[in-house]
Amino acid sequence: MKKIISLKPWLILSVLLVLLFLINVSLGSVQIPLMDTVSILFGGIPENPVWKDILIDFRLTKALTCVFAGGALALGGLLMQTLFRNPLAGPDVLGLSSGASLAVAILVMAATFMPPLLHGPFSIAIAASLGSALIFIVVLVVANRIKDNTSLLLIGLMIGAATSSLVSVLQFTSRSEDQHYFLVWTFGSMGGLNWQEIYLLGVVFLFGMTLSLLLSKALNAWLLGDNYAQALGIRIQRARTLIIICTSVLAGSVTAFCGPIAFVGLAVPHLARLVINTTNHKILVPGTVLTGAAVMLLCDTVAQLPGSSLVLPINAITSLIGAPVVIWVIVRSKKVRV
Amino acid sequence: MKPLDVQLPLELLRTDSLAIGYKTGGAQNSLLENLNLVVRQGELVCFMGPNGIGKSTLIRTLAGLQPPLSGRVVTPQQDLKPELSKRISLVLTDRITAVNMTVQELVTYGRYPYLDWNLKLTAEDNNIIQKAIAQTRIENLAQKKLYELSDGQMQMAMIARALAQDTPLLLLDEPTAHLDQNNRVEIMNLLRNLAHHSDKGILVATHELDLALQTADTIWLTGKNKNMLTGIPEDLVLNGSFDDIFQFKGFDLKTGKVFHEAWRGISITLIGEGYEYLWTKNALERNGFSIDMKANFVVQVSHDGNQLIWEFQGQVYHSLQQLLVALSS
Repeated sequence: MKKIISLKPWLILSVLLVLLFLINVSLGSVQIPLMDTVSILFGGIPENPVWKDILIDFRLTKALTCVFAGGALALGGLLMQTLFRNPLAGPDVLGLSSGASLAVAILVMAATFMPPLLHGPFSIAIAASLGSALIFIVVLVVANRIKDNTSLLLIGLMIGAATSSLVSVLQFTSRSEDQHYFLVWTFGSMGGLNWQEIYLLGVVFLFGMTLSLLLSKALNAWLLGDNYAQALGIRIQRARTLIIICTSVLAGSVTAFCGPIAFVGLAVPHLARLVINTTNHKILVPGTVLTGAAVMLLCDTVAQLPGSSLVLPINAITSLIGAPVVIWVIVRSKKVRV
Repeated sequence: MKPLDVQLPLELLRTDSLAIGYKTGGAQNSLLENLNLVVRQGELVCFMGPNGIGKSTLIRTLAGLQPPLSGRVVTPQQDLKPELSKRISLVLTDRITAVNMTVQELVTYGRYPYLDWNLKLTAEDNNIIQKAIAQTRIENLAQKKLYELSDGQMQMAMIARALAQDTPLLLLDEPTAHLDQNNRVEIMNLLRNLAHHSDKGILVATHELDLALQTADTIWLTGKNKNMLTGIPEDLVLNGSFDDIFQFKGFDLKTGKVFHEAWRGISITLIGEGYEYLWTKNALERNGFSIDMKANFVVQVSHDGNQLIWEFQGQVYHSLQQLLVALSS
């Protein structure tokens, strides 16, 4: 077979990513000339030393968070769409984000009537990861019993509804400052991570991407269904477990550090398939990660409202961009495919 | 008489007192029991039986997708090829939902048992893929997406995928379901040729009685007591096994015809030969006449130049329809 992998989409994606990254770091409430921005990024000394602190500790961390979080969420969405063979699967649709929200809500707001839970630097991250993993396992157990994908999505929505109501009970009974803290967390934010947290997010992201690439044979085979995958020599139980772990770690850690980000996991894999027309995960995984990073940088740039000091919740922007994209993809191709 | 010293072809699959079915909770729901079956090299086996008798379950059990209730399935090349995926390939009734891939990509899946995580195809892999595509004659479809294919083309692509797996055994579950007559015949012919010319053992679960009788080397027929009757097609027809299992209503398997009732009570002597004779007989019987050598009425079918003519009571008719109108009045 002559494999003709067109280089064009990769070139476009990479250039787009670099451009969006530069735009993202050069915009903000403080004006820093573009040339200085580039020179600081490559280790130069700017006229104004404050610029360097702003760039390195605030804008660069935010942009890197966008890259890691966007890539990780998009990858999580791709894994779930393949695992469920359902184009409408995604971390937020199946209740993973709700699970993380519930866990964080318990951690933040139930402190009044619980012994103070561990309050280390990563406690929110750990709680969110556990929460989304728990929901994912519930969804998967149900998925093994109910083969019908539409029912599964409905069950995911119900789980989401149930956890949301638990969260509102917690909100009702908690102190107002805890409530506010939780509410701000649910808006989502790409900023505010220190370098230590970014390293952790980066490690999780690299772990997820490496594991997904190693799993690309199993993921491809999964597209034919469990029976064919097994008949092709895939150890499906092991592969399924690894895919679950990978997805919940990816989605859980992003939700932990950046809050529940909507739509990126659902919409980006479709955008990636539109740019790179393939079903081969060896190509789809890096393609989806690149697209996810670019989309997240774009959303964050828009959220800063260039030219103003106001910053919108990132979730509002991802939904505003994500929802029309999904509608457009469906209308354009008549039918969404995994 | 001394028994003939015949060397039977190599066994590719054998079952020892196999029982298949499902375990639900503590209860066993057994579908077929005490199966001692063999598939040999170069053999096309058609596996027949009424709906719900456990055809798919047997295929799944033989392929190792579900455990047997008791007994075992033996594939003798176990030592040579430890992985089951290198010994048995499958075409199931599962629908493929990921239709955004090309036929070529689908066929490439057949090489997965031989590839590591990096999915790097060797020149040999590519040769095997091309050969599978050529054997199923779908070269012109190779770059088409699956959603562009008809049901028959899709089935051919699935068979090509199974062939690319390059296994001695090929199991197919109802490969001709939902296909038109042409596609059904094409697929059964392809499978028979594959069995005979590439020394594969092929097992097909099917409902196509007429096709199975004409193409299969061996028939497995599910019996009434959860057992299996096996033999060559003609033996099973003549000893009445088929009639027993399928309980044909108004169909005579031995002549391959539907029963006709001679409701007109009129006998006709038919003179002619070849296909003309057979189809004229068919038309007359279908319309309630019986054919008798010593009847009063005589119909003669013959050629007039390159045209067929039927003569009856001195009149000449140019189509069977005209003849039937004249006979009916």
